Amino acid sequence: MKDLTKESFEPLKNKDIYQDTNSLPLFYRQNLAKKFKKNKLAILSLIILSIIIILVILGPFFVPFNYYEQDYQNTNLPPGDKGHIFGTDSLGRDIFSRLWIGGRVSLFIAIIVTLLSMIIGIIYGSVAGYYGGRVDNIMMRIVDILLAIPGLLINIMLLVVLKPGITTIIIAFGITGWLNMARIVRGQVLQVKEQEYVLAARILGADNKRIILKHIIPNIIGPIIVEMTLIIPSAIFGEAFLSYIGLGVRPPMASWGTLASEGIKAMRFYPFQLIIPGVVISLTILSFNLLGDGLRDILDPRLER
Amino acid sequence: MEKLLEVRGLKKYFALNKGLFSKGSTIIKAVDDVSFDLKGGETLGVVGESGSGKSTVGRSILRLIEPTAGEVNYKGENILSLKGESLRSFRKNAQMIFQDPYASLNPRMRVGDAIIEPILSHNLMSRGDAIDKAVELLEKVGLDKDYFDRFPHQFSGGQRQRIGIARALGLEPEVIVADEPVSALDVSVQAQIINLFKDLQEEFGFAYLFIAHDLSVVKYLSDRIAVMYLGEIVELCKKEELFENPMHPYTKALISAIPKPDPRIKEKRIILKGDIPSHSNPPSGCKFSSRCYCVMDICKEKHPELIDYNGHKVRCHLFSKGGENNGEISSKENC
Repeated sequence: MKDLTKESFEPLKNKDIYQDTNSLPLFYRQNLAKKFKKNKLAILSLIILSIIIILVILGPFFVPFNYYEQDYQNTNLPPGDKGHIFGTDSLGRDIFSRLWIGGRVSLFIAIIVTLLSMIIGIIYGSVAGYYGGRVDNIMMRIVDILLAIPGLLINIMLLVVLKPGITTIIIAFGITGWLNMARIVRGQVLQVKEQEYVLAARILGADNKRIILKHIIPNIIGPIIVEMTLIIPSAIFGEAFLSYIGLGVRPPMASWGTLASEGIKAMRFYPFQLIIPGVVISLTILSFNLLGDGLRDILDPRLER
Repeated sequence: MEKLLEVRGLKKYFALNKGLFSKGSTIIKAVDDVSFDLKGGETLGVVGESGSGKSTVGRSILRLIEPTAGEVNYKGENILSLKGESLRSFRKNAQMIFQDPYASLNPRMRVGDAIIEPILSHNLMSRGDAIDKAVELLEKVGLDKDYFDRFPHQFSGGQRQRIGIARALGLEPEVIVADEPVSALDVSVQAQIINLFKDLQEEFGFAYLFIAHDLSVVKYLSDRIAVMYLGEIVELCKKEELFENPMHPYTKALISAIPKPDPRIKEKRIILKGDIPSHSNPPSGCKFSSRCYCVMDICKEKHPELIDYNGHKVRCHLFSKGGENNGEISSKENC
């Protein structure tokens, strides 16, 4: 314990108390970094995500194998055997490099789809909720109609029109991914726009754009982030499904989804082929969720202390 | 002093749909034919029970609610016909202070941002000047300038109400509608805020439309008082006149209900029967007739007009021509 001297009981000077706030240039400094450092789970998840992203970018260069070359002498090798860090699959391809190459596809799809869903969903939902009345009715009926069409049907229709690939997957998710976001945002906007501070902002002369951007969206960021963390895993798994029905990436190209579904086939005899991509997918999704949770808390000024 | 605001025949009706299987709708007369003037620098208190339409009047004047009919003239210009940009610039002159200081500040916005927002929205000055102005305003309403960088949840109700006032002052308005600004605060804080209202009025000279249900608060602050009942003004006169010589039976009942700080004063309180009647089915004739202790036959048949009795306006058959007192103030006890 620290020694207590007489000086310990001196009152603090004003400038010590207000060191963050009492000078004008610091008025707008956000203490977000400080708050982020206190949130251990968020930091941990950020570290895990960074490692995964670094491996996804650089991983394939660490090993002398590439992701598509087949080696029939060395199929289904266990992890660590003959320089294959994660072993090989039933065609003798190196799982380590396939995992990170596949991560590129999966993460790219997850991030693009999430961003797309967020942007469309927030704009659509807040316009419908804020303007209300007939605008709201028409816009939300369109959403209802799109939600009523089974996703599988849309995907098969797309399969007829477009050729399989990442673009097709993004389009397929683009059509349906933002619908839930739009509904959630609309519901939240309906709730928040009746708050007195929105009314106050209107009297004080703020225009609609400013009210939506400065008063409504910051107050509904919590549910938006929660919904966002749900879109990421659904995009990763959705891609696996689309690849399975032949709409996604084509072999020998890999994705986390295709790796997992190939792993299932070999689960009984070579469980590592399922466990390895499974663990990486789970870690990624868990990290995104925890990071989202942390972000929500950090962005909420009411949880300052 | 010049008339700032002229309200003439203001009405706000709400249509209440009866439901899926019955046709038609009931009309709720939340505000029915309200007229008054507000002069520069004066305070008009508006009192009444819950549901008497006080807040609806305040909000209609600022066009937060679209009135059904009537006129609101600000310096001779009818603001009910304003649209878009001209409505925004009118609102620069008329501001509002809200009842609930916990709901009227955006929890995600720093106090300083909340105060400079209106100044920037109206392009009154540059951001740097607006910050200086906001710091000045914070000190004017009795807050430390260090609070600039804090969030609303770090403040008590009274401090938040001060922030709300500072925010409204930034636009240097001429009219401030205060919608029960102290009813959410406890009594000691109420006194501070009311005194702040008074000091600011002396300094800036704006006019208040002060809405409250607490007569003692209104008595301290107002020059004139309007008493509302079921969407109508039933009495409107100078403060002293209202407390010394209340005419309408409802006003008398309200005044008798103010608690007296001296326990030795034994005054008979006038207890009104029942509750405020439903808006959808008000009593015929005088709307107060169902609860009035001076009720006469004519009250149930004919709706009384607002009669100007030497500047003391009252809506009661006791004082109308042909009524019991034939236009004279009654000497009967309580009536």
